[in-house]
Amino acid sequence: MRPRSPQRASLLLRPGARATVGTLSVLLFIGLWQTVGGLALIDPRYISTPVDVVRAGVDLVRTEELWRHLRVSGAEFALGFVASLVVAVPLGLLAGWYRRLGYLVDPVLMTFYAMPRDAMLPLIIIWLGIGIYSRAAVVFLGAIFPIIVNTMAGIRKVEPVWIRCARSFGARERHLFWKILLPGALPYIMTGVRLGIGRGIIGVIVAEMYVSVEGLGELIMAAQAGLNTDRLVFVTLLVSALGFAALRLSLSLEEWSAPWQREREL
Amino acid sequence: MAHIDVRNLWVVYRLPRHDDDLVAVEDFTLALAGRPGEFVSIIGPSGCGKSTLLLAMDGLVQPASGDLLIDGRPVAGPGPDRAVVFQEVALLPWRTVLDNVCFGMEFRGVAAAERQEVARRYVKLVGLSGFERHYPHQLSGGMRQRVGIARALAVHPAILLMDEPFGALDAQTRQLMGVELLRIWDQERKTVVFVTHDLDEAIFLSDRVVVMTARPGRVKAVIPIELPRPRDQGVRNTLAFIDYRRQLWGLLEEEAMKSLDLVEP
Repeated sequence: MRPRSPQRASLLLRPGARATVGTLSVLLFIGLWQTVGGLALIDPRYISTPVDVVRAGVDLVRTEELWRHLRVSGAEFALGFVASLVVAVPLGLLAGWYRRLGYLVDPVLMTFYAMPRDAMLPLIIIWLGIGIYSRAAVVFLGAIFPIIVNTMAGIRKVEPVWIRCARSFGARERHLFWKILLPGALPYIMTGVRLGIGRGIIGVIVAEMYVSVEGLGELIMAAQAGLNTDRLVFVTLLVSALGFAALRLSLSLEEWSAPWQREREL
Repeated sequence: MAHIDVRNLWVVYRLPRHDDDLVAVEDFTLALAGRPGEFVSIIGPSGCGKSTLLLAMDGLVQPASGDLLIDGRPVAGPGPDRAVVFQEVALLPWRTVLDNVCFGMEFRGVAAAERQEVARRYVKLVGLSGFERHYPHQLSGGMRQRVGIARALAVHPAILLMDEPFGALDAQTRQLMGVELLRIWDQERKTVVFVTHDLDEAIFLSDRVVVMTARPGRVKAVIPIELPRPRDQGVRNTLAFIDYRRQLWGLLEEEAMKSLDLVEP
C-alpha cells in the first residue's frame, strides 16, 4: 500500500480542519446545485438554483415584504414564548418542590407533552379565531411543556445540602424558591427553554401555513401556490437559518447559566 | 455565654420500606456547661449518630424525645445563636466566594452594603483575600472549607457547629486546616462543637473530647485535654499528646470494633 502524502493528510488533520472541510462541503453542494439547475439537468422549477434563490431574497428584502412577514412571525413567537415562560417556570418550580402537586399535574402534563400541538390547531382556531392569538397559542403550547418538565427535573437535581444549609441560616420557604431552587434548577430550565424555542419556531410556521394571511409560513404557502420555487426555497432556508441561530443562542444561554458545570465537563 | 444541655435525647429515623426505625441517638446526656469559647469535640465510630446529634443541636433534626437546651432555652429550630459548617461544605456553585459568605446574613436582616463589608472581613480572616470573585469550582477542597467557615462566622453565632468539616480533605491539608482553624478561633472565640472520627484532630483542637459509643450513640467518656495553648504542629509529638491518644484509642477501639460487627453487642 502506498502511504498517503503528508501534505494531503495535514490539510484534513490540522486544527481548524473541521471548519475548512465543512466550508468545502457547503461550497461543493452549492456548486453542484447551481450546475444541475443551471444546465436544466433537473427542471429549475422543481429545485431552483442558488443564484435565483439569492435573487428572490434580494427582491423580498428590497420590496420590504420580508420585514412585514418577519415582524408578524416574530411577534407571534415572542408573545407565545414569553407567556409560556411566565407560566411554565413558576409552575415547574412549584410542582417540582411540592411533591403532591407534582403527582397531581404529572399525568396531565405527560398527556399534553406527548400530544402533537399541530393536531390541536383546528381546536385552537375554534377557540381563538384565525388571528395572531391562535398562532401565539400554538407557540405557547409547544414551549410550555418542555420548560415545565425540565424545571421539575431541575428541582430534583438541587442538592439537599443546599436546602439544609439555607434552613440552618434561617431561610423561609419563599427564600428557598428565590435563592436555592430557581438558581439551582436554572441549567435545567435553560435546557427546557432550548427545546421550547425549537418547538415554538415549528409551531409558528406550521400555524401560519395552516391559516394565516401573513407571516413566514404564509409566505411559503403563497410562493408554493404561485409555483415560485426561488422564493419558496429562499424562505425555507431563512426559517432554517433563524432556527439554527436561536438554537446556538440558547445553547450559549445554557452554558452561561451554569459555568460550574461547563468547566467540570471540559 | 453558651451552655449546651442535652438530656436523655433520642433521635429516631423512620426508614421507608423498613419495619424497624433506626435509632441514631439513644438516651444521650451531655452538659457542656460551657465556659464561653470552649472547643469541644465529639468523636465516635462511623454511624454512631454524632452528626445527627450536631444537626439536632442546630434544630435541623427533630428529636424523638428528650431535652435539648441552649442557654436554658429548648431548641425549636435553627436560630441566630448557632451556625453550621457542613461536611459537604454546601457552597452554592452559582455564587462567588464573597456572595457565598454573604448568604447566611441574607436571612438575618443585614443590609446589603453591610453584608459585603462583613463578608470581606471574614474572607480575609480565613486567608482568602484575593479570591472574593472566584467561584467554588475554581477553589481547592481546603479553600472551599475556609469559605464554609467564613460563612458561618459571618452571622456572629455564639456557637459554631462543625460536622466533620475536614473529612473530605487529604491528610496533609487536614492537619494544616486544623492549625488554621485554631488561628481563626483564636481571633473569634466561639463555643465550638466539632464532630470528627479523627482522634489526633480531636486532641489537637479541643478543650474537651466527648467519646460516643457505637450506634445507638451514648456518651462513653468526656476527656479534658489539658495541652497548653496556643498549640502548633509540634504538640502532636509531645508525650502528653501521645498519652491522650492512647487513652482515647483505648476508649474508642471497642466501640469501633462493635461498629464493624467484630464483637457481639
